[in-house]
Amino acid sequence: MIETLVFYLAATLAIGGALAVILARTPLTGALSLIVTLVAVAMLYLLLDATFVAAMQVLVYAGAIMVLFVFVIMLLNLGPESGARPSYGSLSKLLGGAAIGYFVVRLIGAVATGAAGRPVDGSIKSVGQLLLSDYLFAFESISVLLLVAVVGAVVLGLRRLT
Amino acid sequence: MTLTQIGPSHFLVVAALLFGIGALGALLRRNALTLLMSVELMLNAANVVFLGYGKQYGAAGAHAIAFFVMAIAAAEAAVGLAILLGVFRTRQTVEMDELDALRDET
Repeated sequence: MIETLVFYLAATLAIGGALAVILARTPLTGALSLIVTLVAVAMLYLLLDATFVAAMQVLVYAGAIMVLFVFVIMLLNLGPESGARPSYGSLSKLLGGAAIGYFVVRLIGAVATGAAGRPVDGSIKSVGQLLLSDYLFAFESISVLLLVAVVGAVVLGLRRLT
Repeated sequence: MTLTQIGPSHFLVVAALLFGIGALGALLRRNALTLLMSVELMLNAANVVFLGYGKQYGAAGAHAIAFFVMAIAAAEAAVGLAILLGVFRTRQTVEMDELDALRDET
């Protein structure tokens, strides 16, 4: 019963925060709403037995990535009217939005089958063992990718793009 | 699928809604920062799907995949925001409609 309540609380927070992200008048409001969504999604992860992923969600996403976003928003110092209105004008964008709505409706219809679910061990021990055995190559590749991203971000930040 | 007994399909519905909202934001908003945040929303929806199906089939590998998605999202955000800063320094705007230097002029 408590699981049901927590699920609906987290789902409402996640979807409400997501709506606030795309409807926000300023990027900073959107970034703060996105933090709400990310923490609510971490609650969903906890309900799915994914304790390690939930902790990483709060640490990496709500911590590191969103600090980066807020930092850049402050650095750009955009005016309040910047990006205030969504550009609803063009027909192609409306058609694209309608296609996404249709996609979501079909997806909900397709997944609403109602399987029970099984217990999964999502602790840091089991996931860590999995990362260093079955997913060892991907794990090491990720470290190279992150190194490339750090070097790329520093190079892009140093030079003037002309 | 009942409303009170929470199963993996409930999480998949939430993920579908999150992905739809993120895709709508990426299509409709002109601000590049909001665009990047919409991409983060879509990546989160993908993670919820991975973990939901991992719960449904008892597969712990979904947790490792979700970890990889998170690392790639971090790399994407770092490089994307650095590009955004470079664009802002040269063009003084982050509105997507005004960044049309590669558009065919004819």
